[in-house]
This record gives sequence, C-alpha cells and structure tokens, in this order.
Amino acid sequence: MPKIDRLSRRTLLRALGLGPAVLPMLAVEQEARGQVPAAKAALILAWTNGWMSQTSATGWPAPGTDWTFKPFQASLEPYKADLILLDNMNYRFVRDSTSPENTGHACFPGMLTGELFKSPGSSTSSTVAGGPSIDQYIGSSLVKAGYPGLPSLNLGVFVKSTGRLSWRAAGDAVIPATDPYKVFTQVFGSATPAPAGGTPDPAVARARDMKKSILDNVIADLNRFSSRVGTEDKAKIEAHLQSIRAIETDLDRAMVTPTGKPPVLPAGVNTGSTDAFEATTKMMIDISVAALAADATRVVVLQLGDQGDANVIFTTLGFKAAGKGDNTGDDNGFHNIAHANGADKDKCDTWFQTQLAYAIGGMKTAGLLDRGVMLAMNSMRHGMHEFNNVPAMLAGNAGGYFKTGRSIKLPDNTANNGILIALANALGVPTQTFGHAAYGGELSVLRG
Amino acid sequence: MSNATNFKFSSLVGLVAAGALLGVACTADVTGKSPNGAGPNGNAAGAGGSSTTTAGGVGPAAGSGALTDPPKVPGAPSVESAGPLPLLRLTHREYSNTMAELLGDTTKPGTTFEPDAPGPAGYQAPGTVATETARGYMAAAETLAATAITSKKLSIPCSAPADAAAEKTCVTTFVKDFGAKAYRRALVQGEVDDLVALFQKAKTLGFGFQDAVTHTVEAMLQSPNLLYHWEIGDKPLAHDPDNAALVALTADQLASRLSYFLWESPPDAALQTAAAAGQLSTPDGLKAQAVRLLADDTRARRALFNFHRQWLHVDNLEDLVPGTDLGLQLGSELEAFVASVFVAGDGTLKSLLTAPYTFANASTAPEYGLSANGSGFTQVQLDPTQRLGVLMQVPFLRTNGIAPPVRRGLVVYKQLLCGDVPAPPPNVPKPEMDSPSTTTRERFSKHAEQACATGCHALFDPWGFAFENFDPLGHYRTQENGQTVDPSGLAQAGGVIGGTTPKQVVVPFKNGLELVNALAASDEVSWCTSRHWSRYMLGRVEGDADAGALTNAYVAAAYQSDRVTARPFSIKDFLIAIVGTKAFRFRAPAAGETL
Repeated sequence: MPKIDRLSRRTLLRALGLGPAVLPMLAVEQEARGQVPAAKAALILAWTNGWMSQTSATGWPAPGTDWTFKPFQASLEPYKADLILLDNMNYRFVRDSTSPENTGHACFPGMLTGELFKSPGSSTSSTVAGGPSIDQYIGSSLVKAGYPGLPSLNLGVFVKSTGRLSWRAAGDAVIPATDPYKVFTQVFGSATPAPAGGTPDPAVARARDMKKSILDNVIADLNRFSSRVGTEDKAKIEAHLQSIRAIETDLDRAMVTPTGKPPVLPAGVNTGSTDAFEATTKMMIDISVAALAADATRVVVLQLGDQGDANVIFTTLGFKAAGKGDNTGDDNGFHNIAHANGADKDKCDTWFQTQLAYAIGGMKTAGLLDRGVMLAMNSMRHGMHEFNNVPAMLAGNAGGYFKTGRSIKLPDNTANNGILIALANALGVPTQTFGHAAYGGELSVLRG
Repeated sequence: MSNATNFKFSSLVGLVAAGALLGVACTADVTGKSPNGAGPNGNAAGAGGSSTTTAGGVGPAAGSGALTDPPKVPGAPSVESAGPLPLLRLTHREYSNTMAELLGDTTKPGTTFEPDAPGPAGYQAPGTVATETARGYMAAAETLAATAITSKKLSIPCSAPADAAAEKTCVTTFVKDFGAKAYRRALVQGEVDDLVALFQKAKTLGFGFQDAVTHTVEAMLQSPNLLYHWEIGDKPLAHDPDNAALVALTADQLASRLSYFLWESPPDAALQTAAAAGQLSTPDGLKAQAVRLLADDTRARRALFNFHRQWLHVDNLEDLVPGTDLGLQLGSELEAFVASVFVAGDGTLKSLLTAPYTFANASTAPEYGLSANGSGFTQVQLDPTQRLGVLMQVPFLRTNGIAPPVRRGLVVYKQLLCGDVPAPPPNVPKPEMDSPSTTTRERFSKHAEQACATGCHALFDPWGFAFENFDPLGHYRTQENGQTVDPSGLAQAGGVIGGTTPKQVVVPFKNGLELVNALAASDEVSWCTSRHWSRYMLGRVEGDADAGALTNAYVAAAYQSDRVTARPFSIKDFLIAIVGTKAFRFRAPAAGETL
C-alpha cells in the first residue's frame, strides 16, 4: 500500500492552517493555478513470456548511451534518444511471496503492484494481489484531487485467462476491456460524455439517477443484512458496500468530452479471435494514444495477451494452431513457443518490439513523449519462467522528468517498485514508497 | 470384534497379499500401522487379511486427529454437534441456476463474471463481492429484468393500474410474491416499503409503469438477500434445545441449504411449502426431501457435476482444446455419468469408480474409439479390460493430462485418500520435455529422483503411474515411443496421510484396473469421499465439531442398519444421512453476532 496518503495529509495540514506551499503541488492543483504540470500521460504496455529468447541472435543492449540493437529491436532504432533501457530488474515480490508458483507467470499479477501476494495463489488467481496497482493508485489520486477525466483505461488484447494485471486494492482485480469498439464508444462516443461544463443529455442523466437509486436500495439492504451477521461476516458486507460505493462514484463523475481526434478503427474485426491479435493490438494502441492525447484519461494500461498466452497463435506471423494441446496451450501457441525458446520465439519477440515502436511513434506524433511517458514491462526475461534479471523500458521524458537516451544496468536486487514510484511522481502524484515498502523508494537513476 | 470390522479396515492393506500372489515385488514394505491406526500389521506379504485390531471405539473422539481415520464400528451413535456457518454468496454457477429458476433465463449470466476462486476447503465458496463482480451483477440485472418482463416470463399481476393507489397495491403484491422466491423467504416490511418507494422514484423520474417495475426487479436481483446464503430476514433465532451453544437454522435456511447442496439451485415450491409447514424441523423430514431432490435428474445433476468437477480436478474445460468445445462436451459426459450413478443408480463408491460404461455423443465418442450420432449423450459400454469408472474416463484423464502421473496421482492421493502434500520446495527442476525415446514414466521417474523432489513425488506419483495406459489425451495405449508402458506400481499413502497419524497404506497393483477396484473397496477412500462432500456442503474445512455428524452419516452409508454388517459404501446414502445431522441443521454462532 502507498505509505503516505498525500491527499489526506494535505487536508490535515490545511486544517492546521499551514499553507499549500509546504507540500509539493499535485499536478491537477498546479493546473488549476495555470501552471504546467510535469506530465499528463502514462501508457503502460505489458505482455508475457519474456523480452527475448536465449538464442545467439538476441540480447539486451549494453549499458551506455551508444548501444547497438540486436535485430529483434531494430524497429526501435528511430527512437533511441527517447528511450531509457533498463536491465537487471528483479520481481522481488514473487521471490518473497508465499506462492505455489514461484515462476515468471506469477510476476504478472504483481508487476504493477510491487506488493507481496495477499495469499498464496497462482498466476491465474483473480484475488492474489496484495495491494493496488500503480495505474489505479495514480488514477484515483488524480481524480480525488479533482481531475475530471477517467481515472484509468484498462485495455487488453486476447485476454483469456483470469490472471490480472491491474488492481483497485488487494485482491480486487480490474478486468481489462478487450473490445476496442466498445472502448471507442466509452471514450469518444457521443452518447455518454457531456460537454465540459455543459448540461448532460436528460435521458443519460435520468438513467444515471435511476441506477443510483437502485444502488441506494442495495446499500439499504446491505446495512440491514449486516446487522444479522457476526464480525467476520460484517467485513464481507463492508467490502460489498465499498464495491457499490465505487460504482456510485463512477456514476457521479462528470465526463469530459475529449478534444482530440478520435482514431479511425477498421470495421468488422473479430477481436475475440487470435487471428485478429495483430489488428486488435493496433486498434488498442491507437485508442490509447488518442485517449491520452485528448486527456480523456491520464493512465492507460494495455496488456497484449494474458499472463500465459497459452492459446495465442500468431497466424499473421505464419503460425498455425496445432489443434491439440492441454493446459499449457496449443502446441503452436505462444507459451509453448516461448518454452522451445528458439527462432520461432525470435519472430514473436520481434513482433512485440514492433508494437512498442508503433506505440512510441504514435505518442511522439501526438507530443506525448514530451508531456508523458510509456512504460513497457514483461513478466520475464527469456520466457523460461525467470523473475530475476528482467529488462524494462521507458519512452518519453514526461515533461523533463526523465533523462532519456540511456541504457542502464541496474544494481542486483533492484525491485520493480522504484520504477512504479517514479511513474507516480512523474505524473504529479508525490509518492515515497509504493507496494512493499522494504523494497525502497524511487529509482533515482531514471532522472539522470 | 466382528469379521465385518476386520473386512472394513483391512480392505486396502488386504491387497498387499493379492499383490504378492501376483508376483509384485516389495510387498513386505508394509511396516507401519494399519489404516486406522489400530495396530501393527507386519508380515503382510504372507499374511494378507490377517491383520488385527484393537477393540473398536465408537467413533472419532474430539481432538485434532478426530477426522483422520475412518470411524470404527460397531458402537452407539456419536454425539453430534455443529461448527460455524460462514456467510457465503452464491457462486456464479449458483447465480446462473438461480436466474434460470427465477426468470427462465438460459444465458448463464454467471459465466461472464470474474470466476470464483476455490475456497480454503478446495471448493468454490466465495464470501465477498469485488467491484467487478458488483458491476457484473448490475449489468446482468439490467438485462435479465428487462428480458424477463418483456418476454412475460416474469409476469406483473396487473398491466396498467388506473391510479397511483392501484399501482401501489399491485406493486406491493408483486414485490412480496416475487421477493419470496428471489430472497428465498418472506420479505420484511422495511424491504417491501423500500422497494415500493424505489418503484415510485422511477415513476417520478418519468419511467412508465412497466419500466418502473423492471427497475424495481433490478434492485432485487442485486440485493444481498438474493446474493448471499443467509435467509434469516428479521426472524428471531432459536437455540438447539439439547445444546444451548448451537443455533438452529431457520426453516427457510434449511430449505435453501438443502436445495443448493443437492441441486445447486434455489428451493422449488414444494420445498418452500414443506418448510412453511414445519416439515424440515426433523431429521426425517429433511432426509425425505433429500431423497426427493436426488431423484430430480435435471437439477440434481447440476450439483453432482459441480462437486465431481472440483473433487476430481476436472476443470478448465472451456479452454481444454483450443478452438473447440470438446472440453465442455467432456464436462457434459462427466455430468451424464455422475447423474446416472447417483440419480438412477445406487450411488455407491463402487459404481462411481468401477462402472464399465460412460456417456458419449458424436463429439466425444471418437475419444474412446467409438462412434455416436448427434449432440445428445447416450450410454455406451466400455471395454472392461481397459477402462472402469470415472478415473478411467476421458474427462478425468485429459483434464489431468499435463504431467499426467503427477496430476492424476495427486487426485488419487489428495482427493480420494485425503493425503497431505507439503508445499513444493523452490527450484524443482522440470521433468524433461517429451523425448522420442523414453516413456512418460521414465521421464517423470527421473524428475522425482531429484533429491528435492522425492519427498513429495514419492507420495503421489506412484498412484498416477497406474494410468500409464492412457496418454495425456486420455486415449488408451500399451506402447509409448516404441516401448511398452508400465502401469504397475506400489503406491503408498504413508507417513503423512490424513495429517498427524503416521502410518502406511501400501497398494501394489498390476494396472489401473486393479487400483480402481482397490480404491472402490477401501474404507479410507469411502471416508475421505465423505469428508470431501462435507467440505463442499459446509463451505469450509470440516472440524472436530463436525466429527460426530460425519461419523454417524458415514456409518449409515457404510453399514446395514444394525451398524455391524458392512455393505458397499453408498455416497448417495451418505448425502441423505448428512442432511439429517446436527452439522447440517445447526451452526455455532459467530463472534459478534446478535441473535
């Protein structure tokens, strides 16, 4: 859990009569004063089965400022000056958690939390995370401070397993939206958003009022119910109440009309099919960039595949479903290709790097590398279930917060937490520790 | 001491002698105690069936090891008590079934929610509603309410009342009638008032009569009164007259507990009527209803399948074979099989584990080398020299087909024999990948030889080797990679079986057929099966407080009414008997609860 709740501390200090100058200003507060905040956009891209294979054709760039990409990362060449390459990160929370599955797949549910698992659970447990993920923490902090957009957009391509990446709180998973057409309507559609400061459509307002009245009724029932159960069970009812209140808060939020240009999506893509993995990925990246550019949200998490990709068949790369398989997936699925760890995996890895390059290019065109940042993470290094010695990548300087154009080898035992904390601070949510506090604070080397 | 007693407890160890006759080596390894800890049982190789026992106790005494061993008989019935009843919400499967019964819905809306995780007892027993689940309930309620009212599957007792007073009367009647089904009890006045007020609020917002009723139904479908198993309302609670420390479940709670246990569905009208008439207040009344519920093929099969899929780890069916629905079809096969064993059949452990048939349709028959027409499942005989019972059918073999000896063996060891498994040590090397020249058994034997892996794998792998005649897909084989497979073994559930009592159960077998026959005749398996059904029923791990009830129900199902003469263990009779016990009818009050 975040160690310091800046907002409540701020409220407290104000109540004590101390001026706001005592504390660093939150981004939204700076904006309210007409100042330019540090950063306005974060795109977190995540996938599994490792950055690269162990074949001789691959390898992570050497430290320094003048590195050479191996062929699988050739697509990133135009953006060298925009990148920070990180090597040797350690998903310490997996190592230190009690888990029946101390493998790289189990990194997935905690990559963005940095917190020990709440209870022993596998990578597909939808209740395993020990705390909120960084996207939810940043998004809800911004919204609490008055940011009027969506707290976050959580998107996924071909997410078939119940392994989750994003969490509102310990054990409370956020399910990514996997239908780009629906996401488009949510973000850019004309039905839901009201003009900024304007009057909402009466039919929309009425429907919202009805939903709230229904939920009020559910709350009354929950309170009556709670009086007839014991202490432990009251806690369950309290959790249910919190869930209902979270929905009410969402309903209350005034939606802003994005000012940016909506992306053009191809029609008729069967986004639930593995054949459409590539097409869906492009649609989701386009939506992510456009949503950030329009300030419809400040945090987007996009997961390409799920925590195992057992049944992802990259048909656009020439792979065909073997038609037989088991719980580790189709014989020609990405998971089994990763375990074979040969030239087939290099093909897939090259494809993933190309998607990163596409997203970075989109952000650059939209000016988002200057006022935002992309963070790319994988749950493993090679796809052989490692949780140690894992690379990560940042793209963009986030308003001058990060010093780009560098490849850095991190000291041994550097947890992922320091990167997440840097992201929060770059987005204007002052944070000292996040996740398991023993893993330390911000990774200062990212700033230069 | 009767012969029956001897037969009962020595059934598994007795096989040691059988194995010796078949020439299986190492049968003299039986050095520990007999399965119920009654005494040494050495020299087994030459003395099959000659094991002795101390004078039998009456059943498990209170204490940490109370549930470890099969109850000893004969004796007077055990004293029954009851443990806590945690607040559980409907599982998503129960939710779907409930919507089907309430609204005639066939879309299984629960399948769209974030899946339920297994509870501490290994069976889904969810207690909380996470935000995504609450969102799911909201979205589902909107669709379900609108569909049910538009299609008139849910009828409103009036169409367009003349004025506000008539509307209020109509909606009050509707809310009370539908609510009694949805909440599985009569509504309390405050609930009726709130729902009528919600209807009026909808009208105020400008919704028409039918839409306003629809929104009222939405609220009821999201109410904790529907979503949780806790049908109390404002009823005062009564203590057990024999034991003031226990609280009696209300008649409504008993009806719901019974129907969700045996049907995975809400009570029907007959059960609600029986509850209202006080017929569920006696063990006999409950047992009579249990018999009726278990005879309802359509609904009993839901619960029977739900238990067996979790008990035998027949899961992940949807994605079992990518791009096809074969996994779901195999689930239907299991459902049809267990329904035939329990609903139409005798419900014995023996039938479950050794019946020489299954059910197949056009999709699944080829898995057995057979052919069938159509999508409906019909009974097909299997070659009894190849396959017997549920453990040798494709649904079990295939869903446990990755690292097959480990997973299949683990089910036998943990789920059928209640053996304990220590947590795996870190960094266990993986078994070698498929190689063109070795058998599965050779590769997994090598994996288990690793020093760090022997502790665990010695416990469960050997049981799994019995199924080496089946490839990972569950197809029968005698050869693997050019070599003859070896399905023989000497499995022992020793050392840590059941928890604290060190003992050795050693079962040599020539092949899987011998193993399943041995398991079917085993007291340990009968008792362990009883414990697993209890976990499923209770929504928690069974404890000492449940021991008396479990023992009595077990004895009722494993012995004749004289409580002396053994009979083939009937799981069905156990289910009927357990609902008449205090563990089902009562509960320990929760801390902080105001009765």
